[in-house]
Amino acid sequence: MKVETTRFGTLEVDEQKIVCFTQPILGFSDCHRYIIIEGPGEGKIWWLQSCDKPELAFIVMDPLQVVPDYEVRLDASEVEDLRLETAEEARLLTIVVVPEDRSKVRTNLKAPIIYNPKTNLAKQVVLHESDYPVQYYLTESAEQAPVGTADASSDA
Amino acid sequence: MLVLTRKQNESIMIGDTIEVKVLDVKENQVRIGVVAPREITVHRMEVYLAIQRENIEAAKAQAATEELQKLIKEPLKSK
Repeated sequence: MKVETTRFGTLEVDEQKIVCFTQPILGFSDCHRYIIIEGPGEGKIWWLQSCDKPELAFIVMDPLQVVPDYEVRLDASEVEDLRLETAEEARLLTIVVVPEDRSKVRTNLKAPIIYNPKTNLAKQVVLHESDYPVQYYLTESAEQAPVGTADASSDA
Repeated sequence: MLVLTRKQNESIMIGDTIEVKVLDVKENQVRIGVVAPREITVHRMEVYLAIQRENIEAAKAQAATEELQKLIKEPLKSK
């Protein structure tokens, strides 16, 4: 099927590859379907393009690149929601903010996207109990070290 | 905004599936319990707003992934 995008023109997309967000990305409640656009080369940064709104796309990255011990504990309801067979199957993607000042490029470690590549289901979760920052600066990754543990279960 | 006054251990029912209960009241702090179906997310407001704001900023990105990948592999030393 065709997906209109403002950044990449009209894309021909395999419907089987569409990622469905069981809960929308916070702030974008009317968009549930996205596709992952791989960049050239072997980098671990991708675009997450909305299939519903041509102008909506997020840069996402593999947080393990910069925080090798980044850990997210999923509770049973998350595992069920994404139809994961095991929590280990889940992939983590964190949303990247790219300001004009490139030294302030950062990623959100507090609210990662959990993605199940087998079912193509995903959701953004908030790690309520963790000390991971909402703004983790990528250009300072040598000095920054997140504190505390990650726990995806909400307080409710 | 609907405003209700509750005492400790009293509850509010929102719709048919959400309960908000006052668990503990101290001088300047209230401990609140929320029972909601799994598909309803519950966030502290300031966290919700911070994440929403960051997501909205992120959606403005116009950049090339190769450019960013370089930034990450060779982090800038400048602060």
